[in-house]
Amino acid sequence: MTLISAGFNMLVRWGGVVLMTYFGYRSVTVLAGETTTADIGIKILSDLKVSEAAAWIFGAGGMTYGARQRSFRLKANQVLGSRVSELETDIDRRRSSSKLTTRGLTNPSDAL
Amino acid sequence: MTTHDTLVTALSTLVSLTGIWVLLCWFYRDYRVDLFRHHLFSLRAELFDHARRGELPFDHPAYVALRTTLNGFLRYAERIGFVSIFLAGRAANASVVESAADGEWAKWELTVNTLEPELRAELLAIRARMHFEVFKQILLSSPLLLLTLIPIVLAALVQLAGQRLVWKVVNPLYKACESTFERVSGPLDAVAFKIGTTA
Repeated sequence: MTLISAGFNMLVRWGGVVLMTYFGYRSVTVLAGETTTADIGIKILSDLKVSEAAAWIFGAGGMTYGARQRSFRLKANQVLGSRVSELETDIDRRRSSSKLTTRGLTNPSDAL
Repeated sequence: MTTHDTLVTALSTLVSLTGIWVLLCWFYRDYRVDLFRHHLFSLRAELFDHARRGELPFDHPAYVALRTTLNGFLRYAERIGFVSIFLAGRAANASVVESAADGEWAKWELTVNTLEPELRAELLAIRARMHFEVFKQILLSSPLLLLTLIPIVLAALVQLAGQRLVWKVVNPLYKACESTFERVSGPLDAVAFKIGTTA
């Protein structure tokens, strides 16, 4: 059951990427023999407007910021989470655990 | 527009769409799992505090069952999603799992009933919030569901807001002209009532 659902999720995720790549490939092959990859590259760069470049920088910057923030939060989990776990175990010796890693991520043995 | 221009537009659109797809299927999914776990950790801490304050023992069946369930959701948070729930619902052995779970929760409700009413209410609230978080996770962690659900919800909200706005404008107008409407609608209502009784 879990494998089917994981397989479906994988199919949707990678299916989208494959579809986009296919369309990209088809777009480029339309010009096969008429132009070179260098021409396309030059055209893209020469067409790039300041507003578009700013939008790209904004998007990429936002994603980098999000990724960095997540990384810091996982590190904080490691530092603070283990302390909370120790203190709780002092109070309740038979404290049960979620079996997540110290960073709060899925345990590799539970990952699909 | 030349073929080159079209190609540049097509490629940049594809790169943007791929970026949005990666954002939805990887980064957003991870974010939802982290957020779900964060909320469940808060609930588990709240539950722990009840026991720490001595309101119920750490080995009380109600405490143990609720904490164990929270741990289960925390552990397999990545696997909770619309597809897995849909498949689980259709599985042949789902009824076995369901009846086992029902039995477990029926026992839990019996044990929680032995607690003080205030504490009982607190534990029931923790359990309800846990279920709400699971429900949210099922709805919002699926990119496909998100892409279809958000436009539907937005459309419904716009419609609702529109209706309220229209009613806000229409209601004072109606109030202002109520006596005139009464004169016109009174006989109409009587006719409709008469027709209604003979229908």
